[in-house]
Amino acid sequence: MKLTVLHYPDPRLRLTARPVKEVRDATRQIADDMLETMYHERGIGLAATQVGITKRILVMDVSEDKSEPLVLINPCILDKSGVIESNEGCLSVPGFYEPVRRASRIEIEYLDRSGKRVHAEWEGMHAVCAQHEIDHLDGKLFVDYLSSLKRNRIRKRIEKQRREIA
Amino acid sequence: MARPAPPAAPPPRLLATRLLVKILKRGLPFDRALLHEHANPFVHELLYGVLRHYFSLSERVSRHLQKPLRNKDFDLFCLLMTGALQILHLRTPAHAAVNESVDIARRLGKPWTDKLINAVLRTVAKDTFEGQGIEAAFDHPKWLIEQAQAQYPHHWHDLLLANLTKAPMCLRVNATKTTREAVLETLQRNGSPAVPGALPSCIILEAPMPSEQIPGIASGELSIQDQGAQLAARLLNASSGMRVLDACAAPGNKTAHLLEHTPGIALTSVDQSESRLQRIKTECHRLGLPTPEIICARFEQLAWWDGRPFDAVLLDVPCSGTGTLRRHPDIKVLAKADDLQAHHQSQKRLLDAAWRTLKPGGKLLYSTCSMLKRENEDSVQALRTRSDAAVLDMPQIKACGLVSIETQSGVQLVTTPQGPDAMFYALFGKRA
Repeated sequence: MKLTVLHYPDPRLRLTARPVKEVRDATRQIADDMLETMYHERGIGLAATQVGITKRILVMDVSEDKSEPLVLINPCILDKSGVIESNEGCLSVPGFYEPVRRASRIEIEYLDRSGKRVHAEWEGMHAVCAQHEIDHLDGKLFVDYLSSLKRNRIRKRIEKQRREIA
Repeated sequence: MARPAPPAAPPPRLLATRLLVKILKRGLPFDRALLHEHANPFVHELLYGVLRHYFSLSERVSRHLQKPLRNKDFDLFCLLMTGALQILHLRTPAHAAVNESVDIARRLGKPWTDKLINAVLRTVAKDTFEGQGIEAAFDHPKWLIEQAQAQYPHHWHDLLLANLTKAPMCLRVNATKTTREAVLETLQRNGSPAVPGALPSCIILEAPMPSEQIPGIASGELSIQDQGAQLAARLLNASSGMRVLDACAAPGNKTAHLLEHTPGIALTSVDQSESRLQRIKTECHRLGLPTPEIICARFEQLAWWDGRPFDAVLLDVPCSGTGTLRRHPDIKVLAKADDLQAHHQSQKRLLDAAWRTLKPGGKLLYSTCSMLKRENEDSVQALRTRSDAAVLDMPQIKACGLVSIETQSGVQLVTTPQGPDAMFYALFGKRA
């Protein structure tokens, strides 16, 4: 089932998500719905916070052809190194792209769809996307890295768009 | 996270400046520049404009430079010409043109030029100086003006000025698929008004539009071709069952028109460019025409020929293209007087070879898209004096009402505003 993505500045995007105690069928159902939603919105990553669920679940697929879906439960970054700047966009901040600096390489640990513990080292787009999504689980958005001038401009534009639709 | 956005299109003025440098210094063909993936109509307008008015713009810009720019700052020179074009021809207010140009200079990595750009463009805007010398006055190179003066003593002035106008967009109706009336009606309904052209196959769009938006292009009912070029098939006037040769066929506009005009001819198309010959196949496929026999060879060596003569030959020779300066303003800047002699020599060789492939009793149509005698009358002179050749009349040209000048052997079409490209045609019959 496709879920609804919350849009900045919705206050629910600021909540901190709680760890998943046990990976059950209900957890997998949430992950599958999130993947469906992410593909529909043409995203490469989606955190549970963005669909109003405060659990530490996120999904990713940075491939061009939807061939590498990943489910990350209770993800945790163990180590970071390097710097990379990329133009980031977010399904909760539609239509805006801004440069953000992040670590270029990360060491990460998470539970996969079956509940098995996975340890991985990622670089490039995988690393950037995972950091972006884990920020969501902590109530943080990529616009928080921008100057307040840019952030306010984005917020005003989105609020204006919403008024025009309503 | 959203999928990263594709890199944004460069601003039009920046892209135009870069493309101009490539066209003028690095041999990028103008047609290819127009097809750049980010080239929108405004980029096209800037490219056409700067090349069309190159001589006056470059003189007016140079005049206000205290010292000539270094070679590596040629991009800056192109930027200044683009700025001057906007002020002088596109009605952009000077402050806006200056502002934009300064911005582009920064993106070119030359932020130290803002004072220079300000000084040059603001004086260009105020100045009443329009350039001195005939090149700037007519926006043509001196050698071409001199040739035009000698050849057209009374009309050179109008002919050159007509080259500075925008060419109309002409379409050719595929007679094997539809009729002109039906197409005119479809265009009218589609909100893109058009009028019938001088020839029965021709339609002129009142406002040019991208070819992919014209209904009937994809379905093979229409092609884009100038009115003047559409005369070729009518003048050759082959009939069904004849063996016909298109000697320099690629990219195949005239080949396709021959097949549309006279279904049932056995057509052979020769050209030396493999890649351009490929376009004949796609063109014929699009138009629903039978594919002609296609031969990739150097025509004039005749090694490709099996010795069976042709009933009719179309020889559309490579030339300077000076009849198409509205569509190819780059030619004015890049072509040299010496090129004419080289074209003239190769045209004579091609004509000689083509004559040999022609059956006694057959006819040969020689054509160029040049306005210059050297490539037209002079190139067919030798054939005219042969005892087995007769100059044939071309009543179709008079009948269609396009402005033309009769020469000893043929007819020279001339460019008028909204008129055709300046084509030359000469039709010869081979005595039995």
